[in-house]
Amino acid sequence: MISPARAAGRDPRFLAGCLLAIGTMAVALDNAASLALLAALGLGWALAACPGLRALILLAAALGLSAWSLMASQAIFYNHLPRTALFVLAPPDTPLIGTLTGGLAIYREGIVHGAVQSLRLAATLSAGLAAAWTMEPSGLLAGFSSLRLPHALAFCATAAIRFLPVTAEEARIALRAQRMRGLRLGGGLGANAFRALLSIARPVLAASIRRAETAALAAASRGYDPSRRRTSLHPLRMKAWERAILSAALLGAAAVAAAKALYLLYASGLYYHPALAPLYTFTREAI
Amino acid sequence: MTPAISWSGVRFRYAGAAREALRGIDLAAREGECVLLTGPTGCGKSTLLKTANGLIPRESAGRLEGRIEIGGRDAASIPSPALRSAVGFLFQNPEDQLLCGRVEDEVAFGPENLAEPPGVIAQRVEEALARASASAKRHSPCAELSGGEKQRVALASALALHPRVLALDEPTSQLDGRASREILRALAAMRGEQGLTLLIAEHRVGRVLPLADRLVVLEEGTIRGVFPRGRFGEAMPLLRELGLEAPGDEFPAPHAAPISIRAEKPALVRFRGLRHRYAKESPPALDDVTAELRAGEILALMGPNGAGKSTLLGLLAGLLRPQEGQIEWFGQVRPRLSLSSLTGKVGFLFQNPDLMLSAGTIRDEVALGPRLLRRPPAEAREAVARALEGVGLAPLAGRNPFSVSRGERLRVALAALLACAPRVLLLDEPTAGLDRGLRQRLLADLRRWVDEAPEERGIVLCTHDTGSALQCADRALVLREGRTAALGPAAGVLAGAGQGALEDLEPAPARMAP
Repeated sequence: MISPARAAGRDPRFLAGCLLAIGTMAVALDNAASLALLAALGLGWALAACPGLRALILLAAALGLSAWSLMASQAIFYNHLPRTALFVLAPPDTPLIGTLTGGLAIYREGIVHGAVQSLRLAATLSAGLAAAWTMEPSGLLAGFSSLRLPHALAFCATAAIRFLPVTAEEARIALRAQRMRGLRLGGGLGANAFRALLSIARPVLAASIRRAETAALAAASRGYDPSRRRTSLHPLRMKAWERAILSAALLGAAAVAAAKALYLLYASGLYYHPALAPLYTFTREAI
Repeated sequence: MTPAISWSGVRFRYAGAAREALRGIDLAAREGECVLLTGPTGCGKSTLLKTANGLIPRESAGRLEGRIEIGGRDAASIPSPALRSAVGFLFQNPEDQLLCGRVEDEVAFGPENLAEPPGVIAQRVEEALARASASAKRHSPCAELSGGEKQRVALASALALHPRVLALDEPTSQLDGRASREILRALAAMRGEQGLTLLIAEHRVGRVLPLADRLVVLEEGTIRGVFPRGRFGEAMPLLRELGLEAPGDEFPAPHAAPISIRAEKPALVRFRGLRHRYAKESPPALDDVTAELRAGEILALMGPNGAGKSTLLGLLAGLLRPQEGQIEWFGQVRPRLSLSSLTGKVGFLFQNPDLMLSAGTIRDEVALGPRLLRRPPAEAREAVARALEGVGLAPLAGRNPFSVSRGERLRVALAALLACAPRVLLLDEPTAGLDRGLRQRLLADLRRWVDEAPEERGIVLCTHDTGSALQCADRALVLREGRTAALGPAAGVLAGAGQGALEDLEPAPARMAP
C-alpha cells in the first residue's frame, strides 16, 4: 500500500522524463508564441505544485529577475540587423564610450529577443522547481536505481537534498556568530561580504564534513552497500495517466527536435526533399 | 551458554593516532542483558561500540587486533550486511543519522539494503515503529519531528534490521529531559525481550543505570571495573575518581549572594510581555514572557524542546524582532533592537560552538572579535591573553581550533566572546554532551567570570540540565509552550523539576536513586 503522504510524491522517472521533454523543446523552439505556450505549461505545473506563499515568491522573483536581466542586456547589446533604436543612451560621438562601442542605444528587437530567451528560461526553471517540489528525496534513490545510475551517486544526491536545509541553517548561524563579534557586511565594495563568506565557509564546511561522516556511518550501519542490489518498500509503478502524459511529452519533444533538425538541414543546403515542404513551412512559422 | 557478543584481547589504533583507543578489551554480554558502558570523554566507549557491528575496522582506517564474536561466530568472517543486521547501531545525534525525508522510508532503509521483498519490509517497518513507540509518526516528514521523536525513529530504523544486539552511543546526550525519558522508556520496554542485548555508552550514568544489568567503567581504552546490578554502589568511588557523574551525588552548592542583595542591583536586561510567533497560523513560540537579568546574576533559562528558549535568546540578541512587548538593555528601551546595536556588549554562544570557529589558530580566533571591533592593539592583546588564561587555553593558543576536543572547542568559542569584553553572555546549551568533569569546569569558569565584576556582568544560561542550573544559577526561568511555567530562585524552582508543571525537566540530581 502506498501511504497517503508518499502518494503526493510523483514517480521520479515521470518527473525526469517531463523535465527532459520540456528542456528539449525549450532549446528547439524559436517561435515566440510556441515558447510562450511552453512557458505557460511549465508555469502551470509549478503553480499546481507550489507548496506555499514563500515558494511562490521565490518563483516570481526568479522569473522576474531572469526576464529583466535578459531583456535589459539584449536591449543594449543586440547586434543583428535590422534593429530599431528606441532610445539613445550614448551617441557615437560620446568621448570614450561612444568611440569604443559605436554608440549605445535601447533596441526594440533586442527587447523582443530578450523576452523570447526569457521564455525558454521560464519554461525550464518553472518545470525544474515543480519537479523539486513534488519529488520525495528518498524517491530519488529508487528512481536513480531504476534508471541504472550508480547507487553511490544516487545516495550522495539523496543525502545532499536531505541535509541542504540543515547546512543552510548552519550557514545562517555562522554568519550571525561573526556579526555578533563585530563583522560588518555593508560597504567596502563587496570586500566585507567576501570576508564574511570566507569566515563562514570554514565552520560550515567542517560541520558538513563531520555530518557527512556520521551519515555515511549511519548508512553503513544499516547495511547500505553501493555495490549490492536493493529493494524498495514502494516499488516504482507509474500510474496510467503519468505514463500517458510522459509518452505524449517525449513524443512531442522528439517530433519538435526532428522537425527542427530537418529544417536546419534544409536551411543550410545539406538536405532537401520536396515532400517535406509543408513541414519546412510549419517549422519556420510555428516552431 | 554462548554470549550474544564478546571481545577477547581487542586493541584498536586509529590510523595516524599516537596511542591506542582500545587497549586489551575482554568483555562479554549475554542474550537479553543490558550493559552500560561509561567513562570520561575519549575513554574509548564509542570506539568499542563501533567494533561491535564492524564500523570499526571496516569503515574506519586503523588497526584492530584481538577477536570479536557475535553469537559465537568470528565477526571478521561475517559479511557486512549480515553483521549490520545482527548488531544494530544508534548514534548520538538524531539529526545526523536520519537519511530519508519521511519516517516510513527511513525505517525501511535498512531492510531495503538487505534486499528484502516489499511485503517483508512493510511488516518490519510496522513492527519496528511499534517497538520504538513511533507508529503515530509513520507518515510524518523527519524534519518535522522533535529531537526525542527523531531518536525513536532512529531506534526503529535499527530495530527494523532485527538485530540480536543493539549498540547505542549516548542516545540521550542531545535530548531534553522529556525526550530522554521517552527514549529510555522505549528501551526499558524492549529490555530482555526476544533476547535482545543492549550495549549503551553513556556518561550520564544516573539516567541509564535503572535499565542496566551491568556497569562497565572504561578509562583510556581499558576496562577499569565491571559492576553487576546489586553492586552498583561499589562503582561510585571509581566514577568520582574519574570525574564522572555518580548517581546520588549532590552538585556543589552555588556560591550566590542572597537574592535580596541581587534584587537591589540594576537590571542588565529587562523584558516585558514578549510575544512572538513564526507564522500567523502557528501557535505562539513565546507568549507574554516577563523577566529580567540583574547585574551579578546567572539566570538559568529552562524548559523542554519547543518551549521558546531559543526564541527568547534570539529576541534578546536582536536576531528576531518581538511582535509584542518590550526589551530594555542596560536601562534603555530598544524599539528596533539589532545585532549591531549589541555588538561588543552582548556575547552569544550558539548551541554548536563549532559554527563560531573560523580562524587558523586558537589565538587568532580569540583575537578576531577585538580586531573586528577595532579595539586598540595593546588593549586587544591584553584582552586575548586574559580570555585565553581565563578558560585555561593559553597552552593551546597555537593549535588549530578544529584539532582540539569538543570541550576545548567550546572553551575557544567562550574565550572568543570574552575577548570582546561583553557585559552579558547569552549561552545556548553550553553543557550539552559534556562529561561531568568538563561541565563542572565550564560552570565554574562562568561563575568566576560573573563574580569578577558583579556590578557589571550577567549571564542567561539556557540549559536542559537541572544539575548545571542548580550548580551555578541564581535564578531560573522555566518556559513551557511559550509561557512562563516558573520564575524564582534556582534552588526553590528546580526542587520541583520532573513533577507537576515542571514535569518536562530532568529531576534534580540529588533526588536520583543510586
